[in-house]
Amino acid sequence: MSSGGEEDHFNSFDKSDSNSIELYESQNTSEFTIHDLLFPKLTSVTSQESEFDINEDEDGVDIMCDGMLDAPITKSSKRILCEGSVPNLNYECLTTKGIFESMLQRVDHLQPIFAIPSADILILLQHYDWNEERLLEVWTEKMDNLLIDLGLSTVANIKKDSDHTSHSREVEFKNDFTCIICCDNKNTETFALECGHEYCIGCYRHYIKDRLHEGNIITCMDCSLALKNEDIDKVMGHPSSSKLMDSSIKSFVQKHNRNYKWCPFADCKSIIHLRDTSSLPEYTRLHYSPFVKCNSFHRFCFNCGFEVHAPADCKITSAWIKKARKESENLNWVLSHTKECPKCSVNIEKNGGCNHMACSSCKYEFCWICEGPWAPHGKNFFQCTMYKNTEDSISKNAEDVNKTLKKYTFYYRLFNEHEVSAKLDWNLGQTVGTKVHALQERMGISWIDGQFLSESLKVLNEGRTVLKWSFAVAFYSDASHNLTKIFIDNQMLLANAVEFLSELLQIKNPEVIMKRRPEFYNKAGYVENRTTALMECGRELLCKGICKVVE
Amino acid sequence: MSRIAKEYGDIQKTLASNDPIVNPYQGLIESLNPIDETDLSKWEAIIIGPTHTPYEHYRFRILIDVPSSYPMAPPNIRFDRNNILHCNIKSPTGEICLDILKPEDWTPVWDLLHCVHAIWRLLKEPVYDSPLDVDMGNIIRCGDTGAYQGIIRYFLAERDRNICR
Repeated sequence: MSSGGEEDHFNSFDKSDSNSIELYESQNTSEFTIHDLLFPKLTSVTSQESEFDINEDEDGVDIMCDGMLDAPITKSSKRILCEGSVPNLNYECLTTKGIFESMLQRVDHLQPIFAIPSADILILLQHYDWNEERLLEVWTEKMDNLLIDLGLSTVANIKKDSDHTSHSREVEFKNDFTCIICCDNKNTETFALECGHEYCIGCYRHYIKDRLHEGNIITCMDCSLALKNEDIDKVMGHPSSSKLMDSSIKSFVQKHNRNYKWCPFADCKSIIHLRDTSSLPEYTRLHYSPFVKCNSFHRFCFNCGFEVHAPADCKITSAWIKKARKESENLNWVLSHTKECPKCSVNIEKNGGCNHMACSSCKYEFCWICEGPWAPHGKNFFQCTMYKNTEDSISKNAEDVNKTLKKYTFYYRLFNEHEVSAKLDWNLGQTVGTKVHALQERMGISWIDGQFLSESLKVLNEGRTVLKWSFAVAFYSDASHNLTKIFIDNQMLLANAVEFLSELLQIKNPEVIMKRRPEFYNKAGYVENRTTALMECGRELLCKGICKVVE
Repeated sequence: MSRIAKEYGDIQKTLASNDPIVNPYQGLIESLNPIDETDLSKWEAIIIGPTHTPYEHYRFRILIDVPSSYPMAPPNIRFDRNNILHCNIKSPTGEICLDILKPEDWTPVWDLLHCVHAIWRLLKEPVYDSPLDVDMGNIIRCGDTGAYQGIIRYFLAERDRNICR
């Protein structure tokens, strides 16, 4: 199993430490008592987290790390700001299965209105991207025609082949059957809808299997009659329609990517649903980023889908990452062969065909050459051939470019160093559990009293991430400005504080750890303050326009 | 692979017939056969330019690659390089932009004859909305049918002149 860590979701780690898991269990059971004993006032905040702990119990390894990092000892308002999370951001964490189940409930609600079988409503909903309102609108307008269009009306289709009326959507066994797809003559099971287009089960299975991942309604191979979920399951011999529903919901999430976001962490299947996105532009204006946390405790930015990147905002982050990737050949290929869909930003590869592109995820139609919408091309097609390559303007001043490159390399090295350090800190995190254990055993310290170690590690991780991203901010800031200088001073202070805390956490001897315990508290508190200060300073740079992406 | 072998037999029978009911492709498709009798994955077809189009009196070679996943996946079809000018065809590569040949629109009930026939239809009725050859698309969109057809005639005359040499 590989799963991302709190800060380093770009790296995967070995999770072979059986000690940690064992420790996690002991830790998890006692966690509730601390919350209850020490923070009776905070139960409303913390009890929610405890619930997650229970729900996600099987996924122990993930929680182990986060459970340790999350143990809230000090949760002040300052802390919330420090995490970069935005107050009043109401979101829920879902799964495709959860969404599908709620869809089924809605089908039950709609059933009396439509007075057609639930399976048919499901197909209608699927066709209208699970958009109930649009479906109802079209339904009142078109009614029966809609059923014919979507291949649900068997009456319309039977007429065409009047000699084949006996087909009843059942798998039948036939001797000496010639399938026109594979042209084999054999004793085989066959399947046909009411239309009578009958094929051998092997070809039908193959055909359905190829289409399950597309998430669209599957029709008969020769006409528009739709296969319902139960038909698909019958043909496949096992419940495969759930795969189709899964991919259909996935495409729904992709098409509604303003409100729904996949958790970007490897192997995480969570979906964050933000009902009200109206406040997002305001956050962007103030250079706050809407960081969210999924049920598996992965934190990411709802806007850009990257890891928590404060003090940088999404624009700086994306510019920085693109720049970093530019170094690799890989991106060069991506840039030359793919383009982002102008509407939903999904990367699209053009592997042939004409310039009339239709995004497979949001169905937006655009022109490959100018990336403009396709509709106006109907009349005026000239602008596309006149499209100018921007590369001409890039080679303005070779010296200038060289200078920027040097500056970039300087900051990138620092950025990278902290990324590597964060990874090492993660390894450190694996040992912290053992240390707390050792403290309990050898020093007779209670589990609660040992938590300052986990808390310090969490503070360290957050400080490290903020520090890492602050180099991206520094790169894009006007170096001559006074505030930039203050920002860099702040960076130094945090860097020093982080290093000191990191050193403290390296100590292995339990007796020394206990002796220097006040230092842990002091340094962790200091790192926290410096982190907040650096984040605020970075935000100010952004707000005042001192830090901006120069094209 | 028995499907493509069966198709081979059917195609031979159909195209050899002079009966318009058995062979509706008379005057449309001159030939459709594997390039090498022993390899049914590479085919070629000769189609005849539709009447009342600039393609009239010309013949065009089409190359067909039949993937191993056929008929679940569509065949890969293109013209000879620099052999035709058409707003849905990329002349230098011979690549064709035709919806039924795309995996998402393809269905296994269609066969090679269907595909070749569809390409013949494409010569007859170009799809101006989604041009692959942008320049040709521009000309036809301006409504200058004369220029569009003129360029094609010139291109084809030039093509055959080069072949004669």
